[in-house]
Amino acid sequence: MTIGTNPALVSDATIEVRGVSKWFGNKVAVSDVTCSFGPGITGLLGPNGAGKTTLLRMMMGLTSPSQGSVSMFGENPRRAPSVFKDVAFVPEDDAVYPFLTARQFVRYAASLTSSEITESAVTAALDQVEMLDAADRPISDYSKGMRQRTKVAAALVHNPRVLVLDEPLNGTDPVRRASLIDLFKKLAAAGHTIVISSHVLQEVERLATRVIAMVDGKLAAAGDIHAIRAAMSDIPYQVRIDTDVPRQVAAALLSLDTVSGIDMLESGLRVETTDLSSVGNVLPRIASDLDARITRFEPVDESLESVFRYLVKANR
Amino acid sequence: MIAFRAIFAASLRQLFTKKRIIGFGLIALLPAVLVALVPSTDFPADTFLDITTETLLKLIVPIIAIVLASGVLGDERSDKTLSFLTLRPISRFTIAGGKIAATASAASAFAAFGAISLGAAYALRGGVGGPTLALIVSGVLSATLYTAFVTPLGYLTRRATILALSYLILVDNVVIAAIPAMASSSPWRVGLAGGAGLLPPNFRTAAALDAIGTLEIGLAGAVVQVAGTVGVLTVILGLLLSRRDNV
Repeated sequence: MTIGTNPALVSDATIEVRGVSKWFGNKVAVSDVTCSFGPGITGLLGPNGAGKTTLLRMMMGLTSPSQGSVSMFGENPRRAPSVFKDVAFVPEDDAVYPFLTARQFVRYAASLTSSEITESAVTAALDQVEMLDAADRPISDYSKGMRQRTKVAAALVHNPRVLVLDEPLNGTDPVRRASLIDLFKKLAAAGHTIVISSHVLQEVERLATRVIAMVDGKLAAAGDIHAIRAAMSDIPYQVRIDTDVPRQVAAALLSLDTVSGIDMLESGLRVETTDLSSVGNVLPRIASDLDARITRFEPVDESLESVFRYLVKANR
Repeated sequence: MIAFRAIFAASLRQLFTKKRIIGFGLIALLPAVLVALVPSTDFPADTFLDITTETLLKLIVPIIAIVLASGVLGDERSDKTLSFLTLRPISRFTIAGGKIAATASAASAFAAFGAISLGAAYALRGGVGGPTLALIVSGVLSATLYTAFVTPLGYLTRRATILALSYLILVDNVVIAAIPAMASSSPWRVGLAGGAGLLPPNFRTAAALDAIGTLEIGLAGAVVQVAGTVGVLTVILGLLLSRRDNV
């Protein structure tokens, strides 16, 4: 698999990770990762145990790298807590105080961050995550999704330029999930750097414009999801073609050097090809020659899930 | 200062759970119950001070302070809330100071409650002189010292309670009892020496005061030692929070 030149790096980086490794005894959790994050949403993707949380914790300065370095706005977050005026972290854990209400929790976060945050900012943060109705009930009474949204409100109260979220949609119901996704997209559109770690591929696919994929502690791929797929030149594309004469179309396509296999389906065929455009270019001519009606031509493995499956397979 | 106050207030709420208020309140009340139950018609000052030292100062105040202090940061670690504090644009010394101040205040409140109830029981038994203020001062100084020592320990290890109780039983109450020159390493003795200067004259000759070993009786010296120790341990805790992984 070949990935383009430095897709893991961005030019307007707010967070930079350089040659970072982390090991716990004999276990290597993160191995020589170099990447950066800038405005927009970047999905940090990987199966459980891939090293995403360890990488995030190193980025936030919660854990020191065994090797390499991390900087936020050019500063080491472990040595310069002032960076957290502009940075917020939503951990995966239930890091809330059950004896506080959501309003008290967000107010507490505000008072630890800036003396200029007003009560109206606290209310606005709760409103953004749709927690105003329950804001004055103790967190101990909340569902998992409500606790998640409370953590997000506490992270947003000081309007940080960088927001790092570890599995932020865990436990949220579909409606709230959609509104949180909208919220993150709005923040990204306003120029915030948002890093979202998730093992739920559909979430990242809906959210992120850029992906950093980790497998077994290593950086497996980075960049735009379509570009990553295109760079995996040794793995054939799968294309779904629906037609009224599938057998004839299949026979015509098999004459192409770039087609390595065809599966017949109920209403069409699935073609394996190393060159997507060659199939796309030749298909109108085949349709014309055979007087066939082509109702669908669609790559079926460009989804994040397919790409990710390839990445995991390639890196193990 | 806003951050310090916020940490202080939230930590107090964390420490003063209903169970603790009831449990530690009842424990702090035990010496007063003991004084009330002692079968004696006249209540001598030295007997009272013996009971006070053996129960409130030697056991109850240290145990309450140790339990509270080992949990104030230890619980944040195990509950994964520590990152909520450390990922803020505030000095680690502010976090350390807020946590130690809140724990010392909570432990001191229980110590003061125990001292006040003891003083009241003594008065009800017709005891001569008013030792309550001295007992409060002793309890508060002692509670503050224990919390200052145990809070960093609670951050470092989950076994802080066991380690601190071991120190209390073996070193504080056995080794130092045998080597009076080490009395300044015993928080409750430092507290007793500080409060003893405020005791009425009829308490000054009580045998219980021998426990302070080579320490000088006097509030100023004890306050200086407590303040200095708290300052040093706050700095140490702040450095630990900066340098150690908050995992």
